[in-house]
Amino acid sequence: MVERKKKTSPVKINYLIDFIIFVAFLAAMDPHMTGIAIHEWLSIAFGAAIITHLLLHWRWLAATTRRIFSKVARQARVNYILNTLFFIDMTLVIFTGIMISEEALPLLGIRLEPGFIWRTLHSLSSDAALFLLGLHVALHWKWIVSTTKRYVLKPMISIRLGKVRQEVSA
Amino acid sequence: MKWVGRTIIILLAAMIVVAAAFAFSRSDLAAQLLPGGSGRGEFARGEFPEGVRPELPDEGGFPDRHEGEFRPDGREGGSFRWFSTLKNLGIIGVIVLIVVVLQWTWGYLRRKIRFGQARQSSQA
Repeated sequence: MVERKKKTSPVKINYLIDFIIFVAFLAAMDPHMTGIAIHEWLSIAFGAAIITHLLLHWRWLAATTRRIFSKVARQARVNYILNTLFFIDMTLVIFTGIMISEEALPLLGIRLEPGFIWRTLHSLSSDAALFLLGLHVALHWKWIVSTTKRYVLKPMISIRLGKVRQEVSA
Repeated sequence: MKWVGRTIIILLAAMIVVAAAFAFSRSDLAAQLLPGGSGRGEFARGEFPEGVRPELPDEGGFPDRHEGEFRPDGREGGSFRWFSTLKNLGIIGVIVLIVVVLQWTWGYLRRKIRFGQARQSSQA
């Protein structure tokens, strides 16, 4: 008998990765909470997370890029412009963070001349990133709510109901 | 192979941003826009704007707000530790709320206008 492997839904994977990225973003945004070393390493790892996020949404990205100057829904156009700004901003945050690194790069034996401009740019771009993340989440709010209901709330309710039924039957 | 190509495209896009940032940091524009900067990505001696130099006390002679609360690894001690994260979460929440309310209002008004137009045309 051939056993079929149960395939995990791509929506589920997207949801999980996006949730991890969101939590990592909040943690990385606050070096006073994590400490400088974790802040720096987490932010460098964040680059890989952004690449993964973009790869998972590549179809939408490629299709919208092709149609952006012709026929495309307004919502998609706004989303595309916002996402482009967010990508530029996050690249700036990570790059300027590397330029003023105090822990991560010196540990690898790399020492850069820290500059006021890099520090200012890092501060400005990370403030902008928080604002852009807010807009990014807001524009995908319907998807977040429906996916949370489907993959988090419903399973939790069904588990709870199952336990109650077991207790009643016992 | 498909993934490698896509990753290279993303990295190239990031490199363009990095090159632009680097060019900006070396330009005169950076020195004009960011007060205190020397324009070469450095902070030349004596160029600190007022209140920026960390070792100087502020005009009122008050210590830095967090003085003595930071641990050697940069972490903050005391009850302030989670404050900034909660504040950031709050900012995101407020932005989401504003956008969702605006979207709902926009949709509601559009439906109202369309309904009004349809009723007018049916009466005519």
